[in-house]
Amino acid sequence: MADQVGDAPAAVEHLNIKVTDNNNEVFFKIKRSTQLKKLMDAFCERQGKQSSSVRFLFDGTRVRPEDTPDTLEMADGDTLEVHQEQIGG
Amino acid sequence: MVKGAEDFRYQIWPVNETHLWIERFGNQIAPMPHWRAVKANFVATVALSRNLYPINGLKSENLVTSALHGGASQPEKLKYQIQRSKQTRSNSTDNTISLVGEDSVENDVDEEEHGTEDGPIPGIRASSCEMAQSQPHVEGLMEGEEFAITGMIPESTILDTILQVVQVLHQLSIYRIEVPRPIHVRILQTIQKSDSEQLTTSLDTRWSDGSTWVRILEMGSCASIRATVLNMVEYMGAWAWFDEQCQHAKATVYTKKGRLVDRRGGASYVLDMLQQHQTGATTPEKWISGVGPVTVRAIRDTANCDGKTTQLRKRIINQLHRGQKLSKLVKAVGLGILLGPKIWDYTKMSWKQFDALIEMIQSDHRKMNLYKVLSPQVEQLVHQGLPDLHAFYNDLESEKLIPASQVNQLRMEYVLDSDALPDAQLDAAVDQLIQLIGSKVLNNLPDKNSSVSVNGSAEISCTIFEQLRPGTWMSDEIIMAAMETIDKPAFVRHGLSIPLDKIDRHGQMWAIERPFTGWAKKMASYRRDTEEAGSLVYFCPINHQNNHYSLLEINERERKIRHFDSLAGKDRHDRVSSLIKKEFAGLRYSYEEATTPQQTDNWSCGTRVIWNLKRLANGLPIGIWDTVHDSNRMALEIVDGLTACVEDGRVIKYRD
Repeated sequence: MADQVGDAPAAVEHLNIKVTDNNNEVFFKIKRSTQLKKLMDAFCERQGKQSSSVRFLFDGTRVRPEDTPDTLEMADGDTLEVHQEQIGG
Repeated sequence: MVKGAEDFRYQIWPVNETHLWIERFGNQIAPMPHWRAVKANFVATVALSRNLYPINGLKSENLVTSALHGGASQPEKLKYQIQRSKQTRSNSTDNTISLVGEDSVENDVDEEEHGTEDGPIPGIRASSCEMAQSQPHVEGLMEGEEFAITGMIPESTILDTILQVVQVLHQLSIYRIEVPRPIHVRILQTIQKSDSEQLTTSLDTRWSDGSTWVRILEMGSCASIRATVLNMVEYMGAWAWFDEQCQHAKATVYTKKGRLVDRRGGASYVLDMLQQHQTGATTPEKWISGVGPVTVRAIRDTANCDGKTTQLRKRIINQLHRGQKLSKLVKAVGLGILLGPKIWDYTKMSWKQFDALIEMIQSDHRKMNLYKVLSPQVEQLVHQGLPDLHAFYNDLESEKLIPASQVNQLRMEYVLDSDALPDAQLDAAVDQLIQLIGSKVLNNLPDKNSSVSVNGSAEISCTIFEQLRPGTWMSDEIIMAAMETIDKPAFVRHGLSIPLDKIDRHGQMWAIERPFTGWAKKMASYRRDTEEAGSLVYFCPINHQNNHYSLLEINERERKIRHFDSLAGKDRHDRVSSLIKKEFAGLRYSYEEATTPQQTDNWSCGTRVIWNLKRLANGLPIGIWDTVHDSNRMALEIVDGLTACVEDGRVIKYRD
């Protein structure tokens, strides 16, 4: 969705990434070289969440905004898990 | 102590060192030992049946005693004790037996400890032995004398005795109930399962900190201490009855020659009667409806039955004997003696020794005072099921049994779950944990960029360990990390904390409509992965409005959903209950707001969620609404678990 602007030549591979939190699943199609910050922001926007209040995990590893599917060696169909940061006493 | 005599050993009987001879010269010249080896058990039995526990072996007794008079240190005494127990035993038995090799005699000591006693106090005995070795000296003279009189058992110093008593009282105060039966059921199931499915279970094997197992073991050993004290009370009760009955018999029962029975005759009369009532066989007849009285000689005649009754008689006599000794002891010294570390040994003494023992204790006003202040503890234990350690500390202080500084040391060392742990102590433990992670996992001190994985968990930022400090709120990450370290049975699954509310871009809080959807899905997938349907138990922390955690249990085995909230209130309860109704109605489990000890601070809910999970997952109780658990102490337990995890190499560097 958010990422289909500026269509690249056919050589650029797109990935379908599933993003899921406790109660939603959203699918994104992005380029291998796109920073995941874009996807993370889009997800938060859509879910009405503050981006500082969530963390994204890929395979147990925390996703940094500057990470790309390439740097994380993601494959088509992979899932990002979203956890809401919580505190309490 | 005579200089140069430290290693001196007394030998009364020649030791069989044939093996040395054979080693050196081969066995051609050495005659084979012509005596028959005797089973260790037999030696012990013979020794016991002659009621010899020392004093009979006068010679060795005196030798050892005189050697000790200079004030030998405790470990040496222990050595003497073992040695002498060998000698005495050899003395009493006939020659053939006494010539059994030294080693095998030594084994007897163990054999006897475990074999001939049917209800010892393991905790007390083990610790008393340990103490004797680790706490040398103090009051040399006194001990020498005590040793001489009591023979077999060297009396320990007042400090040792107090220390052992405090250990027992401490244990009894902490582990108040016995191990719940479901735990045994579960252990059996696990054992049986892992026998048949070793391959699959080995794949599941994961590290955990083991603290729950320590707890279970302690609970078990504590239950036996408690049972022993109660047993002793029962023995005394039975003895009092028996004694009365004997008096009665002496006045009413006649011998065949028409004279009133003496004490002995009365006793055996009472025992006979008792036994007849027990086996229900005053006449060998049984009423069978429609037939009338029928003689059932066959039953009585079988050897089996006879064996049973002799056994019963033996057991009762044994217990009555103990009851008699205990009654006498309690009368002379006070009820407190029942918690004395050597009480079990006392009941096994000969009467001569036993009387000497009482005299000795009575002449020692400090011991008498100790047993005096112990008496209310025994009463408490019997009445309420647990002693009052704090009251005991106060008594120790007011009676000046040991210096106040030592009482305070004990207070610091042996604390209860409810005693406040100073912030500094928890802080120090957290410092240590963070340093350990730095040195062992990261190779430098953790900063905000460094991250680790705890026992296979997802990536966790190292800054979260700061949240273990006193008065600090916890994040969902530290709760997850701590949950990874706990012991739990294979059927328990736990998940990440589930928020019931979310924060939008403008910082506003909104209730999430169906917060458990993801968790329900996860449960479904766990369920698919296990073979047995309905056998899992799920635990999941819940976060309320980003300021409070509680714990949710969904138990398939019991078909129950429970909510554990350390700040229980109607609003939260109503909310959780309606969410459960909405999302888990399909399960048709009953829902309850479960009993949970309450927090009195405004920070410990995360700590309590982990602490509760740790116990609940293993079927251990967490206490009732007004049970007081010190939050810092609970947090320390979590820090300890994480520290163990780091030490065992189960915390792995992610980034540094």
